[in-house]
Formats: sequence, structure tokens, C-alpha cells
Amino acid sequence: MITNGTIVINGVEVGVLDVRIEPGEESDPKNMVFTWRAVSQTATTLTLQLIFDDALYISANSIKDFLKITIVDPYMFFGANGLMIEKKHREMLREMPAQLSENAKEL
Amino acid sequence: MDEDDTVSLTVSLGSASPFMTFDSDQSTLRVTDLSSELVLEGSFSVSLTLDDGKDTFTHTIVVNVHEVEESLEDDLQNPSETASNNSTETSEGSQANATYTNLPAAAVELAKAKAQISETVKVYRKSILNRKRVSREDPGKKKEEPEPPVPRIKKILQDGLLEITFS
Repeated sequence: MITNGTIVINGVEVGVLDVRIEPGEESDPKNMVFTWRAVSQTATTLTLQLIFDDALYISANSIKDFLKITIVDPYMFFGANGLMIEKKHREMLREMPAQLSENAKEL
Repeated sequence: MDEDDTVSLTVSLGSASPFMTFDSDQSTLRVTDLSSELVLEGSFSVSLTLDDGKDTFTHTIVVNVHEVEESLEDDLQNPSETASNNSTETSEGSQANATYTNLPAAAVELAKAKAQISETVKVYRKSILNRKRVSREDPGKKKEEPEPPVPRIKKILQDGLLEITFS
């Protein structure tokens, strides 16, 4: 599932971040359904919350799933020196750890 | 960042309140409050003024937008009537404008304008940094190029929370 993080300019959404799950070979993409939202932002960090329809399917197999985040609009992210993120660094990939179910989170 | 590095930035659409702000501490360009009326009324200018207390740099972009109701068919039949003659002034000189028939096209153009402004901010800040560096450096010392930020997914927790760092 692809979810676009956007800013809204006059009612028109302009993409900022693209967040998606790259399923492992043993995973069913249909079980990777999720949404996300930005939780907080500082000068050097951005915190996101992924919300899965069924978190127990994530990295549940021996071949793990990966999270891929693409910076769609680099003009929204400048360094303290005024420089923009280089193209080669606009894609990030990281292995997803197994996720807890909603019930487990509440314990 | 010390006080000497502070750069103020104002971007406005005509007499409307600023729609883009630049936070010199966070070094982040943001799009905020944009009035719908201005986008739908033909053309508008985006003016950018940078001021670090010593130098002032002004950047103006004219963006042309046709009304949403104007049909694409009319554009095709009467291209001369819908074509825009306004010029766009940028830090790099003038350039021709295109014709926009709907709001998404206007948004695309606005995004381009934002990109141009962002580039201007980048060039301006780089020149300020270079100027300061030259004035502080020892003559024989090798120059250090500023590094662009590198985003990384720092950690992903089992409850779906993750943190991206920009180092």
C-alpha cells in the first residue's frame, strides 16, 4: 500500500513523503495495508506513526519486510547550512521489526 | 547558529499575509496560509526578500493562473487569447510563462515557484556561509565544503513508531 504524505496548497495536495512497505518474498502484499501520520518534528528529526490494519502480519516470516520512505519534495527539508538533501539520499530503506498487535500495545 | 547567521525571510502574495515562512533555526521552508482567491484570479506575484542585516536580496516570480471554469477546448481553439504575456523575473533573468487552465496546474506552478524560491534561499545562504568562512579562515587552511543533510531511518519500534533523523 502506498500512502502519500502531503501538504495542501489551496486544497490541492502536493506530495512530501512517500511511505510504503516492500513485502518480503513470503509476505502477502494484501496484508501490508497501513496508513501513517507525522507525530512530531524538530530541526533534525521527524517522527512518524505507522498504523497497520493487522500488525501481526508485518515481518512475521523468516524473510522480513522492509519500510521504504522516499522524500518526494526535498524543498521541504533543508539542512542548517541551507543545503538540500541530495538525490541519492532521498530514498531510505530499513528492515521492519515484527509488530505488536493492538491488544499487546495496550498491555 | 549565532546572531550573525540569522537571516530573515518574507514571502508574500501581493498584499496578502506571507504564505511561506523560513525558520532560520530549523532551516525549513514551509507553505502555510494561502488564499484561494489569489490563485484563481489570473496572475499573482510571489515576492521574496532576504535580509541578514547587511545585504538584502529580492526575488520576484509572477505566476499566471486562469480561472478553473475556462475550458481546455477554448484554449486549444484560441491559443493567442489564453496565452500569457507576463514575464517572470527571477534571480536568473526573465522567462516565458505557460497557460494554466485548472487549479491542479496552478498548484504545479506554485510548486515550481516554491522550488525557485527554495533554490534562491539555498544560493543565498551558501553565499553568506562562504563569505563568513573566507573572512574567518587562515589563509593557508584548506576550505571545508558544507555537507548536505542525510536523512536516515534511525529506528522502528514494534508499535509502528519510527524516527527519521537529518544529520
